[in-house]
Amino acid sequence: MTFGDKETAGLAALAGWRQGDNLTAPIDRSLSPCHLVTLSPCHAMTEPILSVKNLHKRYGNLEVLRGVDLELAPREVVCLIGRSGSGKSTLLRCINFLEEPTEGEVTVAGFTVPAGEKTREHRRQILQLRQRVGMVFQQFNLFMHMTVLENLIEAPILVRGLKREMAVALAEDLLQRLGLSDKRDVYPSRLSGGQQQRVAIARAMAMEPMVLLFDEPTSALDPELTGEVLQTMRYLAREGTTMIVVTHEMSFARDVADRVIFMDQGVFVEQGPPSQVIGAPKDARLRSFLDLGLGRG
Amino acid sequence: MSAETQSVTSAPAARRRWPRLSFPIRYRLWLVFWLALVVFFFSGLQLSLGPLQIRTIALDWEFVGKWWQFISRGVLTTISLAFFAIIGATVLALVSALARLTPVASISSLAGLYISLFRGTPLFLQMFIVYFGLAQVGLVLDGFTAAVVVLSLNYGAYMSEIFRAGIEAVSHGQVEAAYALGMTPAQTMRRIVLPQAVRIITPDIGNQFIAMQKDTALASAITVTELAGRARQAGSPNNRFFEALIVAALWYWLLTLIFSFFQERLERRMARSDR
Repeated sequence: MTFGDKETAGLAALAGWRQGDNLTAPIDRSLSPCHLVTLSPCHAMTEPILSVKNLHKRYGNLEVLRGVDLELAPREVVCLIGRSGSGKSTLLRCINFLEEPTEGEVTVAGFTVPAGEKTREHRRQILQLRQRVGMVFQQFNLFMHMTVLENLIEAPILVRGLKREMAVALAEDLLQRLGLSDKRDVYPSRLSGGQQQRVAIARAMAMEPMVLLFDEPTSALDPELTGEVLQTMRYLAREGTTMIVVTHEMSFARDVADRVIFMDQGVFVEQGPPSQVIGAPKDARLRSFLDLGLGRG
Repeated sequence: MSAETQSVTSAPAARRRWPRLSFPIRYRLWLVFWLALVVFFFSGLQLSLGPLQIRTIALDWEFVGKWWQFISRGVLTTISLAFFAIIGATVLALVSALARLTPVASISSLAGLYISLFRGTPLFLQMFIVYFGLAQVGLVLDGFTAAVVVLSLNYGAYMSEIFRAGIEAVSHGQVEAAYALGMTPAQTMRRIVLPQAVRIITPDIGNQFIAMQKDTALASAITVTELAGRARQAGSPNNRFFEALIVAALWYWLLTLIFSFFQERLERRMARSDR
């Protein structure tokens, strides 16, 4: 169980690769850097890092997701836009099984978890999947009884089984990169909303996930605080983090996203590069949504 | 409280405290005055202020001098009763609170029945049932054990509801964040939810401990010679109830003061993450 030096560990974190983990589950083997070397770079780029197949979510008679298919290439940044109630957040929460999808399957880097079985094995698979998918919440949800550093090292130690020194080194590196080093030993209640959300991003990154999910990360923030969070997300995107962002920030989607997806009533209505989806929308519902949305932003 | 209203940002506001007393000196002076007045009523002095005749209660100090050591020997029994019962009650409370919160109906309802039974009947009666009732069917417990068992069961039931409320007061977002990081439900409970729940319920649990420490006196009804029992033993044959019981009462008060002191310090330490 080794990391390279601190520098490469941090870089690996930001690039979304896991390195030197205690590799126990079969899925881990396929994720090791060695395996990637055997693939042509071209292959590595086109092999989807996340794929969602035919995902359905029903609450009784209400069908919130009606067959969603999604594939993400490594380093791709996807922005999900749409009215509230269109199923964006539900899709995000189904990807890491915070909501159990009714039908379909989720694959992260070759590790597939199908929906719906209530078995012990299924629960074990979900835990495995979640280690590879980071999530950032609208309400930050930092652990209020822990300092910033403790927030960052908790899961790496408990879930990944990292040694404490290693987890601390990784966390300190992340904090430094995100400009939060001076907050290392502070409790979350003393941080501004923007700082809390940046720490929450760092906490998710500390697990070195393959994909990072953002569920309206700036919606709970005062307007003057959204900037620093968006800047952090831009930085992660630039460093090659694969991410799905549910957002109402159209300028962020336009500047940062490789692909924008417009959702309505539980399905993808339109998707493509931002210049096309935001710049030249075809669907009437998307056009009316953008008229409203751009007015706000 | 729903998960939505318990958002992280509103948590510090919810814990806002009353301002601390801004007149500590005056407060203490008055405290001393009232205490002196109470002591005066037991001084045995007789005052005549004009037409007003004040007679106070005269205590038999010779009796106190002779018997206070006998009574005070019960302190250790009282403390150990409380000590073991606090441990027992805390364990029972935690287990039954978690049992109550499981989605498994059979276990949750069992915990519910336990809580309902032991909150719904008098502690005094429970003492008798466990001590005399069980002896009748062949399970003979000594008084001390029976008292510890009953105090644990009774306070465990009350504290179970406090634990449950504390666990439910931890925002669901905390649980989701832990799950999203790959933690198991057990890890989430142990590392994320319980530590925060304990901070929330510390004042309530402290009050329960204080109440229990005094309810150990009921053990004297089932032959345990702790403070209250010894006070009665000393007071009864000499007809010096007042003196004997006041000695015991002062001990209970002192124990409570000591306990409150540590409770307050603990609370202040735990409030660290709120500041």
